Amino acid sequence: MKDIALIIKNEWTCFVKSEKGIFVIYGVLVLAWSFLLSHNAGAVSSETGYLWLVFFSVIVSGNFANTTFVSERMSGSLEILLTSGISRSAILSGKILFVMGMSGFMGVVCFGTASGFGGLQGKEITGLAGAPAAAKELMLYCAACFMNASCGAWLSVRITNPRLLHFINLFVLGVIVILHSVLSYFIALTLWSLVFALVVLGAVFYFRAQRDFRTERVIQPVVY
Amino acid sequence: MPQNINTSIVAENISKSFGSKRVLDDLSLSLEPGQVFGLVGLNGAGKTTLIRLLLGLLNPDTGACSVLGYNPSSHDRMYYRRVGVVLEHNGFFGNCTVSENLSFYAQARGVSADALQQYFSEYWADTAIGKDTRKVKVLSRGQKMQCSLCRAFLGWPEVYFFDEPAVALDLEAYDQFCAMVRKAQSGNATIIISSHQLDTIEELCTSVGIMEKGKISLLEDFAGKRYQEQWVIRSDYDVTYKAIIEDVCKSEALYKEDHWEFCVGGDIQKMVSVMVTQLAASGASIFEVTPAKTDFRKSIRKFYDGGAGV
Repeated sequence: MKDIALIIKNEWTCFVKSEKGIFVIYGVLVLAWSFLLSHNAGAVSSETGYLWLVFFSVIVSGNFANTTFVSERMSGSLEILLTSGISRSAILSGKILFVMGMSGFMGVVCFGTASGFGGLQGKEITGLAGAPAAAKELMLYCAACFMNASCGAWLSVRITNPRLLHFINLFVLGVIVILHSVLSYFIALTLWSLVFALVVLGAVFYFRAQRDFRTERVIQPVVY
Repeated sequence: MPQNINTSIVAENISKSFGSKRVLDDLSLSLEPGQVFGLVGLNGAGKTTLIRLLLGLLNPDTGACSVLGYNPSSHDRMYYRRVGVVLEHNGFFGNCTVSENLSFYAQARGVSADALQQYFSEYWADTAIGKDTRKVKVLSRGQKMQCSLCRAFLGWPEVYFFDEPAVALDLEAYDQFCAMVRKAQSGNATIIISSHQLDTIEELCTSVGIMEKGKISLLEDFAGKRYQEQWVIRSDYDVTYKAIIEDVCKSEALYKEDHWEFCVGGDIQKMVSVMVTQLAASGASIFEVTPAKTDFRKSIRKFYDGGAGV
């Protein structure tokens, strides 16, 4: 646990010392997306409004996963980190938790801002009455973040071209959402089933990443 | 778990291939505590691969290796706390300062903040990185290498792996590195230095291995050459002069054209001074007294050319 905390703390230190432009980009992204969540999503269809949330998670957690996993491999710093005295399991878990934490934080900010804009997907989420709906949406968002973070970690080891990471992440998430939509057409599936599927798949990717992190594949050269 | 052993590093019949290219071929190596082992070889000879295998970053196809009794492939965190590493990439977090980076790696190694502070102020405070508060990404290549060396010696591990450690170091930083290696060696640490800079190998190493075609050949008598300097005295010839020189240096002296060649060990300055005094007293005309140029580079070259010297 101490090592995981050390990795998270280090990732945070590196993040806050990033170029200021990064924060501006994230700020604009959160504002734009919260406006979409608040108005456009609901205006199009309240049934498919959750998709805005799910795909926001790809943008945020996919980007963080890219920074924390792939950039380390590209710069060669992962080799040093692996020989630093911190277990590989702690390195992986710490990085995934950081990605999830940052994505979760941005999701909450997005939710809060959307609420300020007048509600989530056209529905008021202020007050106790709106809490269950908001919690459900937030759970979906967190599950998607977990899936993206784990998938990003696994892909960072498996793929040699890091430019594909975002695309494959989006593809995997898209396949799950489409499958859920298709199945919903035949059987009554709630949003919770999508949450469940994302968590299960996230766990599968996490364990596969754990296994691959112990192989020499983790230091294979990055190819463009 | 580590075994109770007298050898720090053991590699037994290890082979490693990347695709169809066999980089290491049935290679064996055994190093003892206190040994500074120089690893030389042409580009692509497998030096870095060997170091990566010993660090557990790669796994051997066949054979086994053990460092401090640990199997590197088990990735035991306690093993990594006992080794110091300088690899091709410095591994520093570019947006953080030197002290932030060192603080992170100290915590990773279980070195306390006080111990880090003491170590840094004792050995690195007066160097180029001592008072630099900039982000690592803006430091020069040499400064980054100093940071890497500083991190490697942090906590004074028992085994060190250096892959081209002297690249881009200025004179002061190089001297600092040599001093740190000698201090670690005096503490019975085992050190592997892989480098193309033969001066570094010659200055620091007690034994040298040359890698070629996936195998390692030990450079015989390197230690002898290392500690016995070859000297030249230009003078006239007399059989009594030969006896004087051989009596002082306790080895054979050869007269070639206009000078004497001999090897001398121990307190070299004192012995050469005694020799010159005795030669002068016996009537020799001495024109020049000088250490001979090293033949280490020649030995390596001969090896590559397939000749003697090894």
